[in-house]
Amino acid sequence: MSKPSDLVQGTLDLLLLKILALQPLNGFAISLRLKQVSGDVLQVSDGSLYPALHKLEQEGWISAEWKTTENNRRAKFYSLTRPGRKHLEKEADNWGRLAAAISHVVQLKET
Amino acid sequence: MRSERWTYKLPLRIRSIFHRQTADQELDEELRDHLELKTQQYTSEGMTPQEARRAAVLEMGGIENRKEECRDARGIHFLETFAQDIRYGFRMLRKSPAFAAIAIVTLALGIGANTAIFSYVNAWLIKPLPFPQADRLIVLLSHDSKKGWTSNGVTSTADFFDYEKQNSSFEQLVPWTSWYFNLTGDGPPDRVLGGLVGWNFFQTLGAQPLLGRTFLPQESQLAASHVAIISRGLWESRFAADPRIVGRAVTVQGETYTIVGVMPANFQFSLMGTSNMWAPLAMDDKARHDRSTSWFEAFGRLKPGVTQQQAGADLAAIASRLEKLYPQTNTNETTLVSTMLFEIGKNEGTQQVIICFWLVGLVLLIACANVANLMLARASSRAKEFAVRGALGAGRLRLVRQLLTESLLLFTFGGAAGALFGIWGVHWIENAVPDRIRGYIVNYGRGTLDVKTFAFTFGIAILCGVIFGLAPAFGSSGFGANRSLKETAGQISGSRVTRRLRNLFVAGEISLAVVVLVCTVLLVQDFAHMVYGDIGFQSRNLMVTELVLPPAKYQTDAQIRGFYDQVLTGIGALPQVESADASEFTPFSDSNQVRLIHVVGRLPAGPGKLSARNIRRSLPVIFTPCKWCCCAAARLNPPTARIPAKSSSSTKHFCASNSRKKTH
Repeated sequence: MSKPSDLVQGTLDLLLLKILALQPLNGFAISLRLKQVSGDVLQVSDGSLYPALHKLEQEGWISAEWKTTENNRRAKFYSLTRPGRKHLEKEADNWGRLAAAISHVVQLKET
Repeated sequence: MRSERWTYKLPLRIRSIFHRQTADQELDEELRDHLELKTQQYTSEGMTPQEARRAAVLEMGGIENRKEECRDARGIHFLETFAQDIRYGFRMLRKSPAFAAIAIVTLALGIGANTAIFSYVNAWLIKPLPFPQADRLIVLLSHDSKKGWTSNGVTSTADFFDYEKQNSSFEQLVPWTSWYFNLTGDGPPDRVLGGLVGWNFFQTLGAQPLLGRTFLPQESQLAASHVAIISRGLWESRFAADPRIVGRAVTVQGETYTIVGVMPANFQFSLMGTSNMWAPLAMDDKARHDRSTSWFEAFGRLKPGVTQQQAGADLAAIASRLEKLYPQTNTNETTLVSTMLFEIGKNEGTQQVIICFWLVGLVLLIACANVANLMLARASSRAKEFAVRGALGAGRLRLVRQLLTESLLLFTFGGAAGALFGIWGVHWIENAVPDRIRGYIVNYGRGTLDVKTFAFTFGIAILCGVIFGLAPAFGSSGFGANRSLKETAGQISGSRVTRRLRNLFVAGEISLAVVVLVCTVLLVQDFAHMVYGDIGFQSRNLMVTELVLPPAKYQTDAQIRGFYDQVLTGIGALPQVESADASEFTPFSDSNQVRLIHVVGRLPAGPGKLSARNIRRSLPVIFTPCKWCCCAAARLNPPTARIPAKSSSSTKHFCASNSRKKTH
């Protein structure tokens, strides 16, 4: 099993926050959504998903709640907190700046 | 934002610590759930259940590792390790009870002494005045600008009333003086210590009576001044806590006084000393206009927003106006201000408390060095244990942390034992304070055992635990695993670093002990000097008593003289007494008076020459049993005055010598 193409440190957090900003989800649904949105480019293993979620929860960016799913199972649903939403905005801005800067550098013409 | 984040974080932290099992269970459930769903997904994609399950687990990359990572995310790893170290520390202490006992007792002595003395620092320096807004209480001091003399008390009675009328800095100015009251009537006669005070005395201090009321403005008029307020102690001891004490008539100085109030037990005005009764300081017009003598002291409460400097400048301006108006009496005279806090501290032994605090601080250092040494010695015998643990992968910092936790545990026990020892120490000190001087001591000589004191106790315990635990921890965790493992059981002398540390501690301890010893000897010597030193006369076999004559009954000099002649003849006739004499003020008594002395044939030559009024302790005139006073009397040569001229206070002291004839 190949490792995800070494996600930049903290990028997984950004992805998770963005996904949860759209709607509250449980862990399994998050893993499906991650694959769905990133296609095959970003492979996030289930192994790194849960520790990351727990860390975000402990940081206060997301909060968890046990709810019953449509097929009557109890599951832990994660949702973005208000501080989490602000954090996401800031991180997204940072990411935008970083990505733009790097793509600018990479596209410099070689002479 | 930050605080809002904590509303999410804090409950989680608390849960991680106190509901660890629930948190773990939920983690299990969450991961199991994920695996089941994943297995279902793979099965629906065509895998066999076993394959699907295996794939799901593989994708997780090991369930237990993931769980561990999730637990680490909780961020309480530190606390768990700490709890583990504490358990281990307990076990180590139980395993060597002798070491633990010696260390804890040593620490208890050091920390307990500090607790006891700190309770006095707390009482005297941190909260010495039990009055509201005590920082606004200001004491007036008279000052001779030419001689540079400063003394308690106002410059003169008339000056005081001018200050009172003309100042713009004080809410109130209050005159007061210590006083003796002859309490007769119901029960045996009693001489009660107390004070004559301005009507606004209690009001200005902000003290409320337990029963009844404080004085009224009109009670500072002579005609209405026969009222008294008593202390709770006197109320209970002499009046059996009579609930109808307010309004009760008592005989004071042979006259009838009405008790109007009782002050609570914690009321204390330590500048006055032990006081159990207060009466209004009342005077007639003649006394009010006396610009040459003073017989009381004064304090005031600053108006809000006025500083001590402003008040000082205000009074100095008034003083210079008075100096111009009354050059005969007021030349070079001015009034200084000082905070009551400072005056009490200056008079009542704050310095001694601080010296004691330093000394017990040194004692604590010695105790800590001792314990650190013990820990070092024990640590070198545990060298093998550390070497094994190091070899098994424990980092040096981890070992240091564990040793530090052990030392903190030990010092915390020491702190607890020290707190108990400190409480006992405070009681011991309290009981050692003589009743006579208790009234002058802030809080009646009681220490203050409150949250601050115990916070201090455990604060120093933990601080010392860290500081003195670090050296042994670093010293002993640094063994090379190889060398220590090779050493045979008999060669546990410790590394060179440890040896050097131990030598350092021993040297430090000895030098500190010498410092403490020298300081203590100096203090004791000083004290012995004060008690046994040469005071200029033979105080052995001298006995002193003090008494007050009721002014109503003894009005003329002849009456007073007649009384003392009779008393002295009676005492002198006793077989045990060699001679007896009387004086207005005895040496080292706590009352004194400013007096003008005219030397016959040398009339005051002009302004500023009336300096003798600054002599605070008037000289006893005839005082045969005491050489020093004889000398003084001889130099002044006033052979006519056997009893000093009628005094404004009717306090008389007489002094009787009872040199017993020695039998050989």
